[in-house]
Amino acid sequence: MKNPIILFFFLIYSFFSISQNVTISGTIKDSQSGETLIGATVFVKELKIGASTNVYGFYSLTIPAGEYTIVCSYVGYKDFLEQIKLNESITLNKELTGSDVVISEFKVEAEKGDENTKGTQMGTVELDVEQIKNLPAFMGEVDVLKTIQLLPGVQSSGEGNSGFYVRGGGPDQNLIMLDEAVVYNAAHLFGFFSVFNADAIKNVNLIKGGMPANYGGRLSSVLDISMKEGNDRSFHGDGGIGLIASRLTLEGPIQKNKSSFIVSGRRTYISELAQPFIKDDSPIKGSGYYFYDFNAKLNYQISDKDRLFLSGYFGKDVFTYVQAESGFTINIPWGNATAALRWNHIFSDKLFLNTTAIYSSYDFTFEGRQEDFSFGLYSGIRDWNLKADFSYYPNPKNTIKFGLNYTYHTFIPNNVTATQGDTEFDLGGAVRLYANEGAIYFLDDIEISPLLKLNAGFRLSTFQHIGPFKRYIKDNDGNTIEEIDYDKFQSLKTFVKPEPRLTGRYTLNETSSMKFGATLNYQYMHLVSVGGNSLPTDLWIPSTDIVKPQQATQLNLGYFKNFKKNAYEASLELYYKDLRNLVEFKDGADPSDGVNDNIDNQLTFGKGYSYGAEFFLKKSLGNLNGWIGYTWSRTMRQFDELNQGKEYPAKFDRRHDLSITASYNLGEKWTFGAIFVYATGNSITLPASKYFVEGELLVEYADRNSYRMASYHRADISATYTGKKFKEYKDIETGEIKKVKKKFTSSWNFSVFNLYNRRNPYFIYFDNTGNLTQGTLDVAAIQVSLFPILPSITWNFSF
Amino acid sequence: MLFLLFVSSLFLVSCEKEIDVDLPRPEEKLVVEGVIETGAFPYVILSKSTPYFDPTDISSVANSYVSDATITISDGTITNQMTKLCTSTLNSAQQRQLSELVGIPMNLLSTYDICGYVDLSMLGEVGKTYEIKISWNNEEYVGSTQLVNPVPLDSAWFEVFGDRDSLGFLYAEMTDPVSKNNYYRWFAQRINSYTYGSLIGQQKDNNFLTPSSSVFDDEFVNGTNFEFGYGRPVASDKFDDQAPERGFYKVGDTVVVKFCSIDQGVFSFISVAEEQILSTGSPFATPVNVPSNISNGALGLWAGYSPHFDTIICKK
Repeated sequence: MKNPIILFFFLIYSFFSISQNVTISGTIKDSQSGETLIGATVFVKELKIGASTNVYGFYSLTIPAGEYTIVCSYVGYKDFLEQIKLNESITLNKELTGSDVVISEFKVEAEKGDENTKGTQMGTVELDVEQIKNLPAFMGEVDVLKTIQLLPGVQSSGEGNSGFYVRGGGPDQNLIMLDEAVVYNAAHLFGFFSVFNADAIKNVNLIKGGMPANYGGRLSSVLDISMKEGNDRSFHGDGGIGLIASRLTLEGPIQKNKSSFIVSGRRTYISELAQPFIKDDSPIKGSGYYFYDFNAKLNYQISDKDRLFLSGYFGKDVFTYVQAESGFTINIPWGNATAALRWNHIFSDKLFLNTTAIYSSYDFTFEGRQEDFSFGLYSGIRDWNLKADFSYYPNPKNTIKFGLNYTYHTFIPNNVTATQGDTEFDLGGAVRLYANEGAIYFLDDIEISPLLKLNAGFRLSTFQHIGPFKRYIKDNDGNTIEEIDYDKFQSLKTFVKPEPRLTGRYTLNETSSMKFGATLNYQYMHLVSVGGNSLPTDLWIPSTDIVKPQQATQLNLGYFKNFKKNAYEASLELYYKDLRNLVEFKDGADPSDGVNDNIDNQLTFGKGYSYGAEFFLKKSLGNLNGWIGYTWSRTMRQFDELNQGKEYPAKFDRRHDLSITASYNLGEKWTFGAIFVYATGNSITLPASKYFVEGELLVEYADRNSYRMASYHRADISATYTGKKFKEYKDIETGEIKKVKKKFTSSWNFSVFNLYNRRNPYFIYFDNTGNLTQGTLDVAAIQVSLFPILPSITWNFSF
Repeated sequence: MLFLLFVSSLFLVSCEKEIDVDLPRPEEKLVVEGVIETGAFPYVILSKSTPYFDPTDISSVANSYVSDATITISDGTITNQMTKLCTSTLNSAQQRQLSELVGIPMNLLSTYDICGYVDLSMLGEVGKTYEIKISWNNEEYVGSTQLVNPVPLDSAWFEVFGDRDSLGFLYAEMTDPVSKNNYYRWFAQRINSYTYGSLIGQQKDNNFLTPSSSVFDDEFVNGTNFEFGYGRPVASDKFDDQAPERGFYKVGDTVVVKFCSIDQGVFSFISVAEEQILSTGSPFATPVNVPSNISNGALGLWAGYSPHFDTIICKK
């Protein structure tokens, strides 16, 4: 299916082969809030075929004319059934009622879809934020990024690291999108918290393998996060007060049923809380840290066929360090900003278009000052992005998507300024790199036979590094031998790459299927990290004449099975991934300035591979929910200029990775949650030998990442007490006792992080004791752990 | 490092424990420490690297020195074999001087017979490139360094820092040559004596010492005239050299500055070594080996120094 001509043939076939058909299309929403439901299914009982809603709640289903029973369903919502006689195409917009407002007279007949075994997509997990909220959260702050790290194939690297790693890929290989805007640094405070405020989020979709052709630009995964749209029926609020942060979300209609807004904010106050405990004469009085987030979204239903969304995110971390005695201050703010304007247009009942204009940026600033000397460092990235995505539903056997995407990137890898009094040092000025990135794609999710279904796609991507730019050509000693100036918009290097994508499903029987996938991806931007850990100081740089695009070929094979009427979903997936043109800094590179040099002169290139097996068992119905995920994997890297050219384990190479989560509803008031994680220790580089020059101890390191820290394991538990959701009253006419939903409800969340107080390694450092001159020098390895057992309490409310 | 400080201070709950590190025993490598300076004879001291986690006591340090090598030195025209010179042949004053020059503990020099290699017939000359060849354990190691043209300081002076009454730093003004890729290293020595206390009458520093970031290059300042400053090297922990005077010069000090021009190999070694010393143990530093200018996998440095001298009298 890699050949586009064959694809085209399939298309022609699907366009003309079916006649006398009608189309039913529309939008599925929540009846209380008016929020569109993503992934709700519309099923035709008689034909046993169905469609599911897209990110905008839209579906389209083309079937032969006739009389049918249509079932609309969504997990946790009451099914909607209707007998419809279809002679012509109709629009069927439906609103489903959620179980928390369904009063006990009718029980929700919980029935789960069988997308797990029937869809073509593999390596995909969709998470409902409400489900995430029942699991224990670090310091009571519910975090979608933390939760996806509990899925097989997705790794965290422990506390204090901001990235997550998917199937052997680096943290820069994840396409993280919030309402389609790329978020470049999804972490607050070195990854202890993510930038996604769970109160503002509707849906989280993770694709870790077999990326379909409508996504690109990253090698390893797509994390597609949709913000809530805001209740267009009535005004509501949600909030929470925790030990280190508080949140407030407000939403409501602007014009009832037509337009709505949602605003959501969160801020930490740990350093304000700590201030009274820092003595006034403390040398670091005035130092502190906080972060805040702000999400906002407006949506407007212009007509039945047109809808506008405007959404934005703004967040910042600010770290201040003051040393009063020496007059030394440091101020380090960093953060993301995104804005997306989207227009949904329904051309016909079969053709849906979403057009998006996006601005996205990430900035990191470091300002240091002592007396009249000041030093500043600034780095960042800025994108302007336009895209159009079409969905075409010609018949139930085909779902076609095609579209195009253009981004103008500005990279600021490093901009250093230094002044002393009135003197400004020449540090090379602001270095900026500019690039165009574009892509067109086409994919068809096609049912070849009742047993075989394919998702075949093709993406053609292009990237162009353009001027203005000054290229310094270096000799082997790092001395400049030539300088070349490029004008504005002058092309320095253009890449055009074909990216064929294929995934498929072969049904074995009613409850099980095999899935397979083969994908080729290219990535044109690279995150390079100076230190061993991922930090906000990591730099984004584009592909240039020196830096080739990273390339990944991934092969997947999976077995999927559902048990007990889809109450249990199980899968076993195998993957092999080959990575090329990976980027690292050369040993000893110092990317701190742009004088007479280009940052890419300091990079070195290599390759890698990863393979593994992932086992997943999930239960999402009933009072007891949860999953078990286990991954066995191996991830290696090889760079000619690092580790003497020898292959070495990637930092996040991990043989075993196990996550178990469970949540249990005990009546209406109590929900309990628990998490257990176990992971092979991170690999690190340790000193092997020591020697002395000029009386100083110097070290010679062992092979890169040749040492394993102790394994990481931890258990967390939580309990949530929810106050009464319903008020009872007696109907005067009938004398019946009825229930209505209360206006204000609240809940208490108690959680314990690291229940059995495991001292997980955060890093290892070396303590030299004694003195060489006395001949008593001794070196000890000290392992530092961050969090012991930490209880927390959070009060959440909604009205 | 600041991040580390911050992370650990924010969560005052972090805890530490000593662990056993089980790494395969590393290969023993030859360590070279050699210097040639304008107008001075070259010397080379050889030792072996030892496993990082082995305790370092006086005998293990002594045993790490190598005295069974053959070294030749060449200035491009003349090639000489260097002479082995052992501490047992030196008197205690000479031993003390040697101890401070090369950083080998005095008790080690006086207790054990430690040998170095010198060529008393050759003096460093500006413009020449010096190559050493070391034969040891059937392996040959080669290193070369150049005595580049010295660049003088235009002026050098002492300035009291902030509102201190007598403590301050040294400053200098220089003009970097138009040519690119010039590298410098700063040495300083206080030649006045302590005027009180138990060390009265003793010269404050017996040798040239380097501050913790002693090298710089002309990347930011090529061809320009500029000022820079240095604090006092903190190698000395004698009684009034500690806090609050640590790192400061004092009114009344007489300081000889040895401002050396160096080649790129020396610069790379010293700058990475100094960075490694500052960041040892930091989890946020990349583990980087110090790039030696000796071939065949040896560690260490063969350093050529081309100095300019200045004397500064510290006054208000």
